[in-house]
Amino acid sequence: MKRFKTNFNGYSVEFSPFEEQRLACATSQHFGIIGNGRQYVLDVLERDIVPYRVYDTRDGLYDCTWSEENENHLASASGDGSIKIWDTMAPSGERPLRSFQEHTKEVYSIDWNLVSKEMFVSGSWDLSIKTWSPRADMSIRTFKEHRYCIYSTVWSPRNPYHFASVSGDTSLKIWDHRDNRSLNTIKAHDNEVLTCDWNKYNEKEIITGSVDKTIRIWDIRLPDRPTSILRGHSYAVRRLKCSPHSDAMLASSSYDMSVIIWDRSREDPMLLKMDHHTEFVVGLDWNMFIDGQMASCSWDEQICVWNLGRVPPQQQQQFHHPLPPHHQMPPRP
Amino acid sequence: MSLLRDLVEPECAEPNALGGFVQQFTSKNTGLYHDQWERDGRERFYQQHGEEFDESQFDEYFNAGGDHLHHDDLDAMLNRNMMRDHPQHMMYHGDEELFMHGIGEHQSSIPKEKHSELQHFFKDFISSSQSHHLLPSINLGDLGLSKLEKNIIKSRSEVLFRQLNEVKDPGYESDQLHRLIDALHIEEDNFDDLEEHWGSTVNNGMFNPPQQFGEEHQYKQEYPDYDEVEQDYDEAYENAIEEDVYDDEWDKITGEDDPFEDAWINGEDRSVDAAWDETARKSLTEITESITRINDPKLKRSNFMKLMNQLHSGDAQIVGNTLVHNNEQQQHTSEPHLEDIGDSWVNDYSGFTDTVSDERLRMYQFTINESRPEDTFEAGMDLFNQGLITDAIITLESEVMRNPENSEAWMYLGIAHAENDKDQQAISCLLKAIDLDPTNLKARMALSVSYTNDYQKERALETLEEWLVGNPAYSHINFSAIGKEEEELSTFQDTWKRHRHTSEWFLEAARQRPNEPDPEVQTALGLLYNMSYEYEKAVDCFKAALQNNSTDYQLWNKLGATLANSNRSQEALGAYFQALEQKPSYVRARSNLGISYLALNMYGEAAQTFLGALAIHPEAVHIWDNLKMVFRLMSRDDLVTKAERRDVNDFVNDFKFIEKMSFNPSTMSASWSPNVLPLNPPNTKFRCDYVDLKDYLVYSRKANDYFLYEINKIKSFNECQDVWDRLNTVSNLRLQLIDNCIGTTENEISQLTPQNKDELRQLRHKLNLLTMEKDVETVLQSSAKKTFHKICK
Repeated sequence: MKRFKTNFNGYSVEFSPFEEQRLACATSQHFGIIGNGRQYVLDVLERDIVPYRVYDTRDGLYDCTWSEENENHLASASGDGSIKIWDTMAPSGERPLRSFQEHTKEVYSIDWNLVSKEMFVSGSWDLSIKTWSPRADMSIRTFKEHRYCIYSTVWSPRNPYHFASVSGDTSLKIWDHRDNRSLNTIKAHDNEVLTCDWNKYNEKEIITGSVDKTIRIWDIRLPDRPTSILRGHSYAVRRLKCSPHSDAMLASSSYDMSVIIWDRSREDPMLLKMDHHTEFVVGLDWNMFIDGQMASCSWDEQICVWNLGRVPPQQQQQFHHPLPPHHQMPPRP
Repeated sequence: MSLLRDLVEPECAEPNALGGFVQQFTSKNTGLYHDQWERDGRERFYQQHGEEFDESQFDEYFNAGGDHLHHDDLDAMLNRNMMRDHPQHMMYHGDEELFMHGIGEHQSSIPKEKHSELQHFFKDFISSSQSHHLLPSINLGDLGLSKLEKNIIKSRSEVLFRQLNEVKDPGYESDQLHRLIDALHIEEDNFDDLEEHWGSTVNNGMFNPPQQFGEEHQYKQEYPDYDEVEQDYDEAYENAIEEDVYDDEWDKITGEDDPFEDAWINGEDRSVDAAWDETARKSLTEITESITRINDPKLKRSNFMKLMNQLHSGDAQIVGNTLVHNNEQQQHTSEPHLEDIGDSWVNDYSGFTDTVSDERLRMYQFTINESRPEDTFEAGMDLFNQGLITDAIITLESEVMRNPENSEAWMYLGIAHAENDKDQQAISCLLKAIDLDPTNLKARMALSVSYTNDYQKERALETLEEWLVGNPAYSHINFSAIGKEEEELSTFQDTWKRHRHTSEWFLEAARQRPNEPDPEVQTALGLLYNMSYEYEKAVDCFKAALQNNSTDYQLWNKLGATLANSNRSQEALGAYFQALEQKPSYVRARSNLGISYLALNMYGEAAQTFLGALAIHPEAVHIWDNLKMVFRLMSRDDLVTKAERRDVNDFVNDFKFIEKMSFNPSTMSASWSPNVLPLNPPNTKFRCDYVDLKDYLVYSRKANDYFLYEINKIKSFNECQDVWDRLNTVSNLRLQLIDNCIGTTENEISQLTPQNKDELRQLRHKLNLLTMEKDVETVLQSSAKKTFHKICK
């Protein structure tokens, strides 16, 4: 496992969608409670991880996302409510290409649209979600429905207009970018929902993680109850990422300082529980180019990159069946 | 040039007093980077990047000005960025050292040496919040934080705090945050306005989820399907509007006038006193914890340690200057005489009312408006026993509305809801029943089942424990002694530990009666194994429970569900039939049966079964969803559209599900004995009527499933051989019939001319169905073979 020591507490880590070795990591001083922020751009080399660019901000950074249309651009979400677009061609220490100041409180999540590549979405503690274009001076739209801090906003992997958001009000909302009211609201958990992600192979499936320690898998057509629940973390689930290579694999990181790799095609879905961090694990990502390569960042000021190794053959078959035929409700005793 | 200058991003805000080190890059800045660039930056830029960039390209951008920009703004911006000046005193040449030190050295209002102190302080705050301890009082001295920074710290810590702990404890929360605030010298009046802001959002949304008022369900019935929404944006908009109406309604309900909320606030004192008590208990827990962690085995057995453990786990409390043991502990210290048991546990039980907290006692949503005098408890029970669940619910609602103290009526109302697959309602009723009569064990067992179904594992476990502790038959077991060595009772950090713990209790209870298993304990164990996905063990438990209790239809259903969950759908069918034989109107078993048919790819039967369930309980949204799924799998889009209307009567002509309902259970069970195969096969030699054949197949296969189930009881090999021969003969007969029918149909098709389009299409469809039927039969036969081999070995 390769490690890189950051100066601040890691908050989010993302692999570049253009270059297999490039990694962005958003960090904050003092656990993001007060102080500065720093955006790292790193290169994962054969032996170790080296910094490529480092940019600093006035307030902590909570999330970052790579542009899908320009391999050099990177957006990060800041505690002062601003969104910064960085150009990694610019040398370290340079100021951002653009800074959008519209949110009035901490911006906690940011995600670039995978299909309609000129758009990204941000979610903030000011209870609003905004969609942006890096070309426009102002946000395109604002979505206000949540009743508490928004913790995560993620675009659908297939549909250019749909995105999901989760919030401290315990709900999961599905939105259409063209409509300022949500399409659907799911009361996803009993506690704050901190993270969500779409299954990359099934656009009807969303996975949420919450302070109640559970990961729930939702078919958005069946808002009644989750199609399944994954248990294994002993504290809040902070970040979830579905594998880009398999419909059954996902990874979760938690305030219990562990990372769990799940394979839902197995009888016991917990494939691997990793304890390589010594503080809350907040950031997590899969490498799109290298099957099984993952990165995590944590409040222990470490960024880790590792390869999962060979996946047992019976699971590998799953890769060729991206869409399960249907979700069946389990019978109830 | 001026146009480019306008594009300079608004990054010139006041530097943050704490860090502010960004200003080191911009200390000379006035935002006018390009002036500097024009002066000397351009030359320097070329020195550095000249080899990478073509100068003429720059000139092009500069000279072309705005005209060029709209072609590709981003590229232009990118180039503009390249041209920007570098920080004056920080030419970055990969000199990491210089760069990293920037933070401490420049303009931060916090003294450098305080940085690590602050870091450790926040770390303490986080780890103590996570483990639910109070932050020790620390004085960090003056950090020189600005008012804005203090506000930021306050609000962010508050949000972070909520992410750390699952258990909501307002008293602890405010204490912990106050410790943080005191340590950082944040003045109280500082965050009055913040409290208003953050507080208001919190109170509105978080802790009163609308589902409490039983509204969510209603709302889901209105918009259960996302598919249509996606296709029709207008409709989506409508839905969203209506959703807002619900929100408004909900706001009204939660308004100040709501008597429930008033009662909640007034009844349970959540005021300052409660918070103080809580704090006191916490600190006691804190003190005793360090002591209870001592590992010396000698000391562990000492009375002091026992007391400390009790204090720590809340089994005992210090009230004033005296020590008070809580009920659980008392129960086994005062060895009760047999005659007294009844009384003593009733008394002890009074403590359990506390476990039904007001928060959990949710408002029950009545379906009726006022009670009718003719609907008595007895009438309700009659209806319930006859299997007329929907009517029973209405009648029982009448009863509890008139007589809200009737625990038993609440319980049966809950059980009725559970049978109708409505666990949320069931839970609120059962909680009410337990609240009124804490000794009601049956209600507790039913409640734990409903919690399990509702994925509330923690509560299910809790309820099971309460059931066992409250059960007079097991009052002699010292439960607190079991598993106590490994972990503290009161500080269950995770569900699995708790699960293991509860299982141990029940295993201990089961050991008390090795020869004559208590069906309820076995049921509970079955549930526990179900939760931990150990289906094989669960199956054994349910089978043991059924030994003395073979008419319990709920048990049969539980067995079926467990078998189905462990991919033994074929065997599950038999168990569901048993359940339905006992109680034909049991919706849950019917819907489970449908799911098992679905798993076996027997779509026709699945649809029939789901429709049968819906005929009894038409409001069950999830069954409609399942039905739609079946139709989709059958590629019958016409039926999917029909199902949108949610009217079972629409399907009378498509499926024969109504007759099935009117089957007399007694004749059914007689005809399903393993020795008799009912219904003569239709004569298909000359004429092939698919509907007739299908009827026969369905019926005959059911007998087949029952056979498979019966086979478990067979002891000798010869017997097994005998049954298998018979079963195989029948199965072959079915195959033969299908083959005949296929032959006849093919013959008919060949005789038709291409002009008879309609008829031809119909026949082809029939042929398809028959081929599918043949496939199903082959699958069934091979799976039956497997089961037989396994058993006969």
